Amino acid sequence: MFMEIFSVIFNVGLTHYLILGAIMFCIGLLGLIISRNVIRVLMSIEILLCSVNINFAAFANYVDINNIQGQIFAVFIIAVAAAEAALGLAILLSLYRNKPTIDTEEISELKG
Amino acid sequence: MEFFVKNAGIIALLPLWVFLIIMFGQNLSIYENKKFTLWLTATSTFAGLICSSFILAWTMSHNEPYIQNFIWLEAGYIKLSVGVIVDNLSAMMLMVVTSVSLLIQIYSHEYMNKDEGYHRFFAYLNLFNFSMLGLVLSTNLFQTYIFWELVGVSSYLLIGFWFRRPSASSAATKAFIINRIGDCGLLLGILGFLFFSIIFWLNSSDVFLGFSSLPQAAKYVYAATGSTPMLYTIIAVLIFLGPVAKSAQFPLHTWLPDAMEGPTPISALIHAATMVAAGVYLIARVYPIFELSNDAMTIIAWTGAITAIMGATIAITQQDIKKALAYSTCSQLGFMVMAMGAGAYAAGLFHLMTHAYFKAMLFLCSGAVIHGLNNQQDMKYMGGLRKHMPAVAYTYLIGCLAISGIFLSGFWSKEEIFSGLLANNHIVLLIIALIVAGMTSFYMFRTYFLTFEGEYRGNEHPHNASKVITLPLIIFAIPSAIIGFILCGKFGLPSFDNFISPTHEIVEHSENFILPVISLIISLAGFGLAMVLYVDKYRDKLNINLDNFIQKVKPAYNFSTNLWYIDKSYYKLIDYMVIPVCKLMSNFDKYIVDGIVNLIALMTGFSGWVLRLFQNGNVQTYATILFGGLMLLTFVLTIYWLL
Amino acid sequence: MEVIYNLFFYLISFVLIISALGVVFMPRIVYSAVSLILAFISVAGIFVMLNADFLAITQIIVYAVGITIILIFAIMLTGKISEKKLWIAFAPRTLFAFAISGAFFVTILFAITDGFKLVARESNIFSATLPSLETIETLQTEGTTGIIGKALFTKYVLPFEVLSLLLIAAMLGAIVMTKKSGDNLINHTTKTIEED
Repeated sequence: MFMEIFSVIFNVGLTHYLILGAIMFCIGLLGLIISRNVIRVLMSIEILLCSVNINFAAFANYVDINNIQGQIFAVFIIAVAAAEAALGLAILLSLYRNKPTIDTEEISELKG
Repeated sequence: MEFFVKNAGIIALLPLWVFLIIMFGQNLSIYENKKFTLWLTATSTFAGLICSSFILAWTMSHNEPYIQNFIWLEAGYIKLSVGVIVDNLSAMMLMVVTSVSLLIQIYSHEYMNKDEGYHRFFAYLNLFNFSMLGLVLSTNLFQTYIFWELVGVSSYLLIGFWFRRPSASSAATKAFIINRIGDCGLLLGILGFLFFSIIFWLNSSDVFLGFSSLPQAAKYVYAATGSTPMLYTIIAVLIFLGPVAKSAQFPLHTWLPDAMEGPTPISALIHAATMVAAGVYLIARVYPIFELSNDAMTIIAWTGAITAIMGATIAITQQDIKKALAYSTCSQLGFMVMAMGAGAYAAGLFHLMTHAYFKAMLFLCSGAVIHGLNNQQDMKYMGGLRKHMPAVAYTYLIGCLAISGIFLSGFWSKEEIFSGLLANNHIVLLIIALIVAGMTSFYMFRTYFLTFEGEYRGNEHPHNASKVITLPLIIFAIPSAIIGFILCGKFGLPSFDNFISPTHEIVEHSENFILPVISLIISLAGFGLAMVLYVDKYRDKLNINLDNFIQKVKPAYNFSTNLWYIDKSYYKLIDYMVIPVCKLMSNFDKYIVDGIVNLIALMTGFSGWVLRLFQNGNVQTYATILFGGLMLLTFVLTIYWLL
Repeated sequence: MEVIYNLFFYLISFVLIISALGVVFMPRIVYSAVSLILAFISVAGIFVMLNADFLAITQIIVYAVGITIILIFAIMLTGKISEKKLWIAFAPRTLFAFAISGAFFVTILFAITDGFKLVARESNIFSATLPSLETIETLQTEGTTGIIGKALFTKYVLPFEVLSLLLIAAMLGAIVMTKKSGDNLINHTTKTIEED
């Protein structure tokens, strides 16, 4: 029994990386929702994207080692994440200029 | 002539076109010219009159009807069509409708000139013309029903023309509701007839419910319901309910006197000459259905007889000149229906035609009097008007002679009804008809003497009618006087019977002169009685006190002035039967139906309140909902795939 | 070898998870940013362990340097706001967030491990196989850059170009959004930035 658990723990494979991705995803999700600071929300989004990248890289390594297409998509995601971060900052700044706050509780323009 | 026959639909469509022009033109303030409205209306009707004359000439030489049909809607194997039928019956009706309405339109121009609703009036008038002509030209019962309703609507609109008067609007509503009862019966009858004859129509080359195959269809239905002749009679009576309401027959007649709230030209056109005659026309059209059932024929004949005697007895005591004429119309319509039911088909239609002319003229005369006395309708405040408006008085006298059956046209048509009743062995009906004829003469001359003879009893200064009003009266006087004689079929003159019923057997009149002489004597007796009672000179000479006389016959007098207690019992019926049921239904509606609706609204409001909690404008809340949904989806899919 | 690999995995994972939690729960936003850098570097380490050297380098350049600098700029530009009260929202959604994250994690774990059965390396649910040693050696000596570059310029050339368009659009969008309506972007001598 102990050996089984030991072998499971010390044979790091695809599943472990996927679980790591899941943990990262859940932490990112948590930060996305509970933060009051808009910048922290942006950071949480980056964590979410990172967790996805981990999944892609893991699958590329364990399933598709010859073509590593997962890594290519990860590259795309990184590029899109950069664009998103830049835009997010721009939106943040123009928002801050119109209404000097970065508190998500006070930003409720969607209510109409 | 072929051209006019093939395009007979134009006659009906012209007024519709004019109706649209006037309605839109007036409502959009494109024009405000009364002459234009009059010319448009009169020209279209005149064109219709010309076409009708040609069509009439064509039908004289052709026995086969001309029929044109278009499929209007198809539902499965049921095809309903609209079309145009030109035969002797419709040609006669076309002639009557167009000629009467042309004269009445000219008359209305003067009568309604000061009214602010002039254009609306003419628009409705054209709508009515369209519906009436469409009704006359209908090829099948279905189309007839459509136009039947349209006629009812125009009648409703015109009765309630002065809708600011409460009496007018309630009269319009009353007419509409009572007509609904009849129309409901008519529709049920048509549907019942269609139900039993559907296989016949599917095999027939004719359109559904077409009039030209109605005799065969009626035979088919009679055979199909053969085991229960009761059923066939019920269908026939249901169909007859339509004419009962529209032609103001006994149980459903109460709307007609109230309909006199409308303008007088309307009373003349719709409620005397054409629309109320539409019921008789419908009976003539579906005559093959009634002919097969003796019970139905008996019911029709007796309904007519009761109406005739009721109308006559009530008309005797009416003080309002228009009400008296309205009950007289009731009575005359009863005559026609009675003739139809007794089998004197042609006689009924003959009386329809003559009645259309002289009753329209009588109404127009009464309108001229009312107009001249500034809307005074009570005969108590009239009298001696012959000196002030001689043309009106003489035309009214001609009308009285005609309706009473003293030599002028009514004599010939009534004589045909009498001989028809005699030939079909309806002796009781004949006696009733003779009595009613005497009463007719009495009450008509009573109105004449009260209005035009003796001393003037009113306060208004009577002014003579203008030429535009008297001209139609004088023109009307001509057919009223002579049309019966021209078409009587005696002395080598053309016979209306042969014209109208080429397919029906013609009852050979026993050329006895006893019946006409009796009817003439009875009419003259009525005339004499009226003269004795209502001309001051003779009354004084014979030393009769009218009030004492009335006291002597008090119960009968009350019975008559209270309109046979029919209206009152209807109101009682409504008070004690209909209103409680309505209250019950209203409460059901208020508490149960509305309660359900309110409950649903409350639930919607509550769920809205719940949903509003999520719509707080915070993006992260939306993200929570989004990821919650994603989580659930993932959960469900995982469970589904792995288990 | 195996043991060292495993130990490194757990070490890096531990750092990653702790730093990610730090991003979310650090009371001051600057600490969060530093924590985020740590997390990004840990993710680069994970990439190295997955034989993805190009990705690791890109991760460090783009994330750990570029994006973090952007975020620190954002912190700097909005720095006047008192930071302590902007920690965690005490709203109903916070509870929901914990519940949803937990349930999400359990569900994904359930799915990955085929109903908590397969945690071992042999778990075959994604038809995963250990890469052969030769391939790994080739990758480790030659690097993945060549493979990725070839793929980007042959099979994925259209998405690549579209991506470049996206980046230009994002850049222009960012500029347009952040400029003030009166700013003159062409002639910078007039007036560049006003203090808020």
